[in-house]
Amino acid sequence: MAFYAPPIARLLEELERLPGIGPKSAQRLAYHILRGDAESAARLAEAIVEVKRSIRFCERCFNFAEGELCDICADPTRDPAMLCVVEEPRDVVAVERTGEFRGTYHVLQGAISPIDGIGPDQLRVRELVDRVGRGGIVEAIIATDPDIEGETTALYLARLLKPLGVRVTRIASGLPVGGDLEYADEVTLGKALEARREME
Amino acid sequence: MHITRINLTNYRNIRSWVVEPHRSLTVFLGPNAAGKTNTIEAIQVACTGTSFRKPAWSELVQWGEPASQITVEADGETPGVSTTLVVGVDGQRVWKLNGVKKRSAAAATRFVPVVVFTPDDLAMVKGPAEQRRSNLDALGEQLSPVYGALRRDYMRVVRQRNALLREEATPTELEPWDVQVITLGARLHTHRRRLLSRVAGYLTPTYHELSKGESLGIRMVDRCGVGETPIDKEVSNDVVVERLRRELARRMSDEHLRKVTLVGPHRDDIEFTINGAEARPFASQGQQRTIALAWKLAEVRVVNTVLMKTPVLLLDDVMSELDQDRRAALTGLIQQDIQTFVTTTNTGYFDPELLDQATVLKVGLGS
Repeated sequence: MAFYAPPIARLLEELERLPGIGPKSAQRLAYHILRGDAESAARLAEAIVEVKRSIRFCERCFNFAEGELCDICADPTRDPAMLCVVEEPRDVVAVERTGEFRGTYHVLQGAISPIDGIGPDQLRVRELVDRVGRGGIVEAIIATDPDIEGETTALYLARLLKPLGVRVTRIASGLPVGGDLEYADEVTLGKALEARREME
Repeated sequence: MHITRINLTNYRNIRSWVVEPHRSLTVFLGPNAAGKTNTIEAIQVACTGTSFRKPAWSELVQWGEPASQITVEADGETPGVSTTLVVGVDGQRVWKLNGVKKRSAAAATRFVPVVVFTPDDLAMVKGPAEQRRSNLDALGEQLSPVYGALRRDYMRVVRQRNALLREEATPTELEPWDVQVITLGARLHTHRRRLLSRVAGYLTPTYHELSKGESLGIRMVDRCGVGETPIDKEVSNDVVVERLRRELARRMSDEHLRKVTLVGPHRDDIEFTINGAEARPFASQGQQRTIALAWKLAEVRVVNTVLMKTPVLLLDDVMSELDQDRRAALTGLIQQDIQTFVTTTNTGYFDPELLDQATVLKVGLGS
């Protein structure tokens, strides 16, 4: 017995493919769309089609871009000598939110993970090496995730980039600012101890 | 620490059961396949986040039900703590501490340390090396979450590196993984060695006493290139790093040939000797059991000294496997304010005086 009319079933099926959406969330979203007017449904559908049509990867940093270059690469006030290497476009957003970085980015589009069949060739590593090799970059900050795959990717990149004469740094990991030491979990505190620095 | 209440819903074969255990001894009595071991497992899961049976999480959910729930309440910490785990049929877990959702098992568990003793542990002397490693690691993880995180990270590195070796990767691709095997592997090995020496400190005298005069030796057999250094001698992390690096270089061609990581603490082993003779080939059944029992008694002492808490002792069907003297060594802990849970098919293994001050719960089919 079919619980839903075929068009609803089709919508549910598509919604459930989205990350973080289970059967219940899919149902809630589908009923919300059905209850709303035709215009809002059309706006949603258009937005989805439009984003796929107009967004591509920036030719320089492989972040999402509307044109050939993303807004950051096209911005003449950004410092091209400072390069921040991240895994995903959403990491660019995270670093941008800090307001602390005025350089440019390179988006690897993942991290090395042999189990998943992802090696340097599946990432934008060659493009990174070419970019650094062309000169003009003084420091490469490796800001991949602090997990096993991110750390290994950082090690790999450091070996490739250092011979090219750039300063290679790794973002620190450790205690959250504004937190009390006694509430930090042991693993984070352990990492913070390990990455301690001498005071001037 | 004392467990004051256990509440199980749709957990394996148990539909709904609330247990208010005794502060010293609680006996789960019933025939085989009645669900006695399930209760022991549930306590361990809620207290440590892992099960000695190493099941897929979905297996904890009663057949035909959407989810399973365990709540364990304990005192000894002010105020008391209550840990809840809800497991869905899809294996999804939700952990709660005092009713508040937590992001990880580590944040909701580890208030009540447990020492589990099952019939499988009796084979620890002759069983595979993996069994001895995981026995030690399970203890380490209870003592420090850093130990647990380190072990998981290291095992992930080994899996990733093995995947690369299978693909016949180039040395450049392997190099960052080698660095990870060396850094994390050295740290894990150093932690393990330190922990084993702590356990040995209690294990040797306990064995001597239980066996009435035999002397037990414990050695760490490593695949890190450290060599057979006595475990009571501390080996610094820097030394292990250096030895691992050398060993990795030495075995490189073997690794490429066999396409698997051969060097590192994932292949560590622990070796026992009795009066100088290797226990694995020569120990009698009785001697092996005594080593296993002494090991568990040592775990209790280590938890006590490191965490400064008394652990809860979970004994799954081991009474029938031990003779009277060895049973007495275990039940002796109950007198030392160690809350104990025992499963058995027969109360005849217990001193009647002990049973007088215990809670005996009958576990029947489908209770």
